[in-house]
Amino acid sequence: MVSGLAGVAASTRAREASSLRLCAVSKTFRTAGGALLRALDGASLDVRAGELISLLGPSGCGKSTLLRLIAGLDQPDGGEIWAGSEPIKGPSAERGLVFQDPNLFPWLPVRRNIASGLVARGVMRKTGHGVVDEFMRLMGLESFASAYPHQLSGGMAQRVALARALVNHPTVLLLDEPLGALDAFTRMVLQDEVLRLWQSRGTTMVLVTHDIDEAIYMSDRIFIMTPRPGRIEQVLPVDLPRPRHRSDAKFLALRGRILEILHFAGGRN
Amino acid sequence: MAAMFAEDAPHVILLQYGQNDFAIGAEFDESSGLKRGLQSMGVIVTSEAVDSPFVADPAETPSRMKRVGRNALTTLLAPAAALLALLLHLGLPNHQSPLPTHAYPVFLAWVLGITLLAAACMLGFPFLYPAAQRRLAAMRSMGPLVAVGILLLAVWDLVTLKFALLPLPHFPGPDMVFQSFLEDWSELANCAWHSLILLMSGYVSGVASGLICGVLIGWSPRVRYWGMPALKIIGPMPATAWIPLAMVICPGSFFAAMAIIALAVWFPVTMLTISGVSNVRMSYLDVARTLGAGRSYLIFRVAIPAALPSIFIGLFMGLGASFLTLVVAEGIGVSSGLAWYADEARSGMEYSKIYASLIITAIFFSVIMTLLFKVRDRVLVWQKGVIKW
Repeated sequence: MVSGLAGVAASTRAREASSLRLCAVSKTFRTAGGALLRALDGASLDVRAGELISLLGPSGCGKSTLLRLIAGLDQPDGGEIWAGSEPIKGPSAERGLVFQDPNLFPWLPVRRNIASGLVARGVMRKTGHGVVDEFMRLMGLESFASAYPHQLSGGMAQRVALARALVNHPTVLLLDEPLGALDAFTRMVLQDEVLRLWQSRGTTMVLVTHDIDEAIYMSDRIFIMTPRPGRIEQVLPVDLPRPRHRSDAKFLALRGRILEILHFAGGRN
Repeated sequence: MAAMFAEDAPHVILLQYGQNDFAIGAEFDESSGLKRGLQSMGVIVTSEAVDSPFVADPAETPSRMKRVGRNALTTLLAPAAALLALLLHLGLPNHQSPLPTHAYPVFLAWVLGITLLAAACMLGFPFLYPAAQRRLAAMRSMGPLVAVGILLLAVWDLVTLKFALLPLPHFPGPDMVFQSFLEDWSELANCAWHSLILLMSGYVSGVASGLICGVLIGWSPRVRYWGMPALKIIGPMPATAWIPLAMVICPGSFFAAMAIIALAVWFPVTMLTISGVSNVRMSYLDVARTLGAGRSYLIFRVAIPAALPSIFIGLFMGLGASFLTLVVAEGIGVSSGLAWYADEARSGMEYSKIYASLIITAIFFSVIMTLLFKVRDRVLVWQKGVIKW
């Protein structure tokens, strides 16, 4: 067993690894027509360990691109991305990713979908079933263990996707509009669930969204992005106590301010 | 009793969660823990019993009565056809003069007995336990098919033995063909066994090599660069064109035939595996990578399962190709097998044996095909409900 001191050192390292730093990151794609598309232009941001931040902006502002770079699925053309003191070179189980489409493996029943991260890392035998059971319970999925993904509703499927990402105990959880395809009520239920997970686990979370209410309701800070070329326009701290109220005056004021920044406020120009 | 069946009937479960309505399959039983589990999560569960024809409702509606009557009629179709065929065979005078045989009327009598017994079960004992009821219902849906099959036998009997519309020796009647079965069944069984061994050794080696080639070419761009052109040149060539070469290269006629069958299977399996593996949704691979998957997990646990629907199309195409090739390959020097038997019978002018072997061959191939369907149903059970099954 690890000694107390080594344990503390390990947990400090894990804590430090869960912060993110992006310096002047840029990414260019070649479109089908051969033209160059500057998806990201010198985006810089810092995410503290255990923080929940949102990347908010209209579609095409490069927020999903940014998330894929953090996940290590793509490499930036310029700039640097660090997870703690380690540069990000490729995907890792340390940084879980949940997409808008749950992307469950359709050939595996719910339980084995959730376990797939453990199987992939070869630790299923060791840590195995207990962890999977824990997350099934946490997400209220016990009775769906043997159901196949196509039998689930959108909300249920997204719960499975969250459980699947969390079962690896990632230090950073990247959420790419995970609730974007759900109806308004299911979405609000799941927003609370994600917050509950965040508060209980202390996982750093980066949430990509185009839903202003969601960004204000969930995050510590909101990074507002603008398109063509994608860059971070402004950083807004959300100084509202939790649990937040969607109809609170400060909530609505912040909402108005974000709409102004994005030029969607309407009325006077 | 009625209540028992009603409880046991399969149910469609309708779920309501938030604004999403959805139904989950008819397979779930009302009494399963699933319903309680769902309800505990605030899902509104309503279930509708799938209408079962065996629920004996005390207040039967006229339309239900009509359906019961129609069911009884369907049930009696097969025994009626068997009885008709038997009466025609025994009642009408023979116009051809083959040796007197009893195989065909005995066969018909057996069919009559079995179908009557089945009909009696369906009509007379509606209180069997539900699983048996369901099986009987499936059997009843076979009724018209079996009846038409028997009637076709009767027509065959009429145009040959009874009215001599078709000439002997090329067109023997069912009595002669059934007699050949009886006389030669051990030889036929032996031939079917040899065909099976040849077919399976060729098919399995073809599938194995096809899967390996397909996964390698589909996954690795470098292997694809070299493999694809070779595949495009060798693949479309009919495997039987290799027979002369195979007979020279292979150590014996069995291995030559096996190699030809394997080659015929290899091409479609390879092609469809390539297409399946290279068309795996990138997002599945992305998800697996962020879950910490290495290359072997990506290939064996993501790419191959995702490619399985496509691979199975290749397996079916390969099986069809293997049947074709088996028939040809048995002509290159093997000394037993169904196609070989037919060939021997032809050179001996024993036409009833040819028909007997054709019938066995048809059953043989269709059983193997059915088995592959069963395997697919089991392996691809996760697709059920996603695609038209």
